[in-house]
Amino acid sequence: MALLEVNELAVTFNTPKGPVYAVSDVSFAVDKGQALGIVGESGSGKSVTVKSLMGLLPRTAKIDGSAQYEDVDVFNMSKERRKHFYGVDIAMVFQNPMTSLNPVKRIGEQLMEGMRFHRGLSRDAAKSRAIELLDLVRIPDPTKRLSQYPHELSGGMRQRVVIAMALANDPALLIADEPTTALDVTVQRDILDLLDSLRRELDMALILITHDLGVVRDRTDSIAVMYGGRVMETATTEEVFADTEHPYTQALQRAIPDMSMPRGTRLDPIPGSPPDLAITPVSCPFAPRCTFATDECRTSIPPLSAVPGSETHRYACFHPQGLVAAASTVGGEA
Amino acid sequence: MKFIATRIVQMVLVVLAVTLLAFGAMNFLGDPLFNILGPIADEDAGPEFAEVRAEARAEYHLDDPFIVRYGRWLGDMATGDFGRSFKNQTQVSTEISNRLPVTLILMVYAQVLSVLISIPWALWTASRAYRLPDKVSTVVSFGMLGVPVFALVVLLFWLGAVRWEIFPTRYDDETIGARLYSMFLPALSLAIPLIATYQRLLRTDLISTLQEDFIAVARAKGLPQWRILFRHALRPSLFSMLTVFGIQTGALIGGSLVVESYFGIPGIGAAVIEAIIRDDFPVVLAVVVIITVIFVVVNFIVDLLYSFLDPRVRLDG
Repeated sequence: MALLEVNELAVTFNTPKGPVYAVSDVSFAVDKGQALGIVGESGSGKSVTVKSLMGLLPRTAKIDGSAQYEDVDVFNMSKERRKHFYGVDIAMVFQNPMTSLNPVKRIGEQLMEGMRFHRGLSRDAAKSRAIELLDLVRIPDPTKRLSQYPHELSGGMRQRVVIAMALANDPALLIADEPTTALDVTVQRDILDLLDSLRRELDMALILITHDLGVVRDRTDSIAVMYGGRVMETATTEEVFADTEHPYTQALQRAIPDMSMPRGTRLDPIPGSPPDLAITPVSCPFAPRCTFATDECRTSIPPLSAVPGSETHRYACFHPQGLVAAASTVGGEA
Repeated sequence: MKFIATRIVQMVLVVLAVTLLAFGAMNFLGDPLFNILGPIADEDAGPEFAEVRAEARAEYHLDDPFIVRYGRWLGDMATGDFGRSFKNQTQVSTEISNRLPVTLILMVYAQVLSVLISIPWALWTASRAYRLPDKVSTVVSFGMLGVPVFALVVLLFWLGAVRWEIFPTRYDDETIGARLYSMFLPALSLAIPLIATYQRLLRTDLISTLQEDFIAVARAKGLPQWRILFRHALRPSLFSMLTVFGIQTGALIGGSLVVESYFGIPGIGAAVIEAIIRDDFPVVLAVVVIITVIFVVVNFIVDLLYSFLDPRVRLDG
């Protein structure tokens, strides 16, 4: 039973220059306590997807499709349900810890306000919970931090505070939108490992958004690869790496640095740039950059198809690489 | 502390410079003796007035060098003595101490009204930026900015006191309530352009603050809109408004001259207009000094408030 199930989500921004199709036909599910990685480069629609779930999109955004969180229809919640939904059932960690905290409010105040508002905790109860949370995200000297301002903390510490803030009301689902992109390389790993261990400790589901396929490899149960506002491939993490179908996923894999590669090996960049989402989509968004693209790819949109024999593995491509390779092997034997 | 000390020295220098300029202007532009005595100050007026002239010269120390007279005037002022009026021989300090509180109440009243009206208005429009209520508000606030004070007083007096008869037509200082009630229209006349100024500035700053990541974070925490506006967006957005608040104090004093005369409020504004017409220098000078001090002190407080608004602003920087 999925905790969150997103079906055929589409987000269109109405701009003065016409509609921008930021997200089209996106479906995925997250089970209780599981981790989903959403991978894609800038402009692939991954942030817009989760912002639509969090109700953070501007009014110019038109949302179609459905998102079901347990018994809640996320896009059509009652006012009463909505009052204590965000920050309680689903919480979110943002990309840039340097700007995620209010610069004029003390850490303690920012940690406590969510629990006080949603749970009506007393000041003292909220304070001891705040200390507990800072301890949970492994911030040393938590009591002292409560009276500090954000600018007195380093980027890594601030992201820990942001995570603690998101955990305040024990959410069943945490969405982390590129939580390490703005951090020093040395700190990135710590934060990712922290998220991973918190998910296990608190039995919480996690949606981890990243542009780095390498980041989600060891930390998620399943992966959705997005490009041009669409899901290109979705599967369990194991399947994605063992049996890659989509040429885009393959290209992303080649861009992951690997310590076992010989010195001087160059990473393989993906030539070209992401598609213009202001054009009504009529083709595979990856076609212009894809080495396997044919006329079919340029004139129609490949639907999400299931890999035979798998419940979980789906791809949106007319030339599934794994299946083509398998077919040619079989063909060769025959 | 170093910041405060530097600012205090600056304040003293500003006050000294203004007093020197004002005192110099009053003494070199025109003849002080003429202002005291009128036509009989002239040598040609006749020998019978020679004694009066000599007396006046001695009494006002007009034969001393300028710098000595300036120093004496400053020294007297430091002890609260602003000299005597040229025209009715009363102590200027008595006149000032009767009238200054009235003007101060009017100014504070106007500022309080402005802040109380402009902040909710700006919050309301910023959270609906570029939509119809905001567009209408923009037109209204530019209208409010465009009306000159002298037209505003006439309009408000006619509407509030004559047509609708909500407010008294005369100034009334029987009780505090009566005073505030009768000062409402004058204060509102001063406040209207301020309300519009503050609303414009605060709205713009709020719109940009509302784009900040920490506002999205607050939304993701599930906090309601009003709480986000008041608890998260307002304080970091107050800088421009606070700066202009300090600067507008000067304009407010100028505006109170018009408003006090029109509504018959016995403040220093009304007094200084009379004094200027009658060349009553001690009164004019006293008012100039008081206005300068108020302006400088208010702006000093504004500077201190920056660090209250944002803990990253350090006063010893």
